Amino acid sequence: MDVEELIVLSIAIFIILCFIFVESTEVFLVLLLLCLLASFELAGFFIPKEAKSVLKSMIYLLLIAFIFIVVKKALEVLK
Amino acid sequence: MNRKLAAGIFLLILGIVTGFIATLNANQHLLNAGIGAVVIGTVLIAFSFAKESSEHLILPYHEFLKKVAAFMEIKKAVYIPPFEGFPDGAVFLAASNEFEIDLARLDKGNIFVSGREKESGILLEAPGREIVKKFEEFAEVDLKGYGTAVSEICSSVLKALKLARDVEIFEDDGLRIAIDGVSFGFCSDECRLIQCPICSSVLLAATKAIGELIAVEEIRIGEGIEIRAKKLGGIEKWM
Repeated sequence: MDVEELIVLSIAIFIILCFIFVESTEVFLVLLLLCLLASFELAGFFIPKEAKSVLKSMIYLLLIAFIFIVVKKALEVLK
Repeated sequence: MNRKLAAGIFLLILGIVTGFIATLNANQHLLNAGIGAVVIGTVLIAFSFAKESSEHLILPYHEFLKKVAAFMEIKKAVYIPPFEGFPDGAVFLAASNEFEIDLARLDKGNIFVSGREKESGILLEAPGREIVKKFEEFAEVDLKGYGTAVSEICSSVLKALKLARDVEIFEDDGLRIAIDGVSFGFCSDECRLIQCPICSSVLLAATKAIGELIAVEEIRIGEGIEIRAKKLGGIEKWM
């Protein structure tokens, strides 16, 4: 098994564990963001350039979702 | 389509469908499953498009050879089947379009061939010669005299080595070689003068199988690679 396969496998295992233990979609999305950020930081060296650009786009999408979640929660608290 | 890409597309579609059903039923847990499948699918697809690391190894040498060819004002690449002193064949990079090769004069230790402008050029052992050895190892035959049927051997070995998907060789007054699914992404029309090990291996196998010298006329890059080459006659003609 090469490094690329290990990276994909780690991400998949983390997502499956999140799916099993987390009910809320908001928490699930935040955990996905953390997973991708951690993978990018820890294994970035082994991730090919083409895959990096796709992963970055996914991170940006999840970041937008994260901002929405934070704003939504902040508005709930303020109300 | 490779397995990673197929699995990625399957997961992506499954995730979208699951997410859609989950949204209709207002089921958060199912929605999480859909999002998870979409993320894993996208990661798989992203990794399936990644270039092979071999490309990073080959590219600097390929660029270097291109610079040497530009410096020497090379006009044509001629593939020579095995002859005395070159058991694996060779490639002569001619400095003139109206080149003349005297095979009897060529020496393995003499890379730069000098003389009249028509005779000068660079003599190299073809970059794809080690892959040609793999072709012979696979087919358990010497490729000499095999003819255009050698394309099937090239196809099988290059596919097994994950270097290309399909090779076809058509013979008329010249040669037309089609190579599909090449794993290198740097192929361009400029490769007419200097070929990468994949194209070089197919050209060397063809020259060996046909038993004639081959001059590369044109390389077109479309969905695959199309090489047009001219047959120049057997070894005896050039001795």
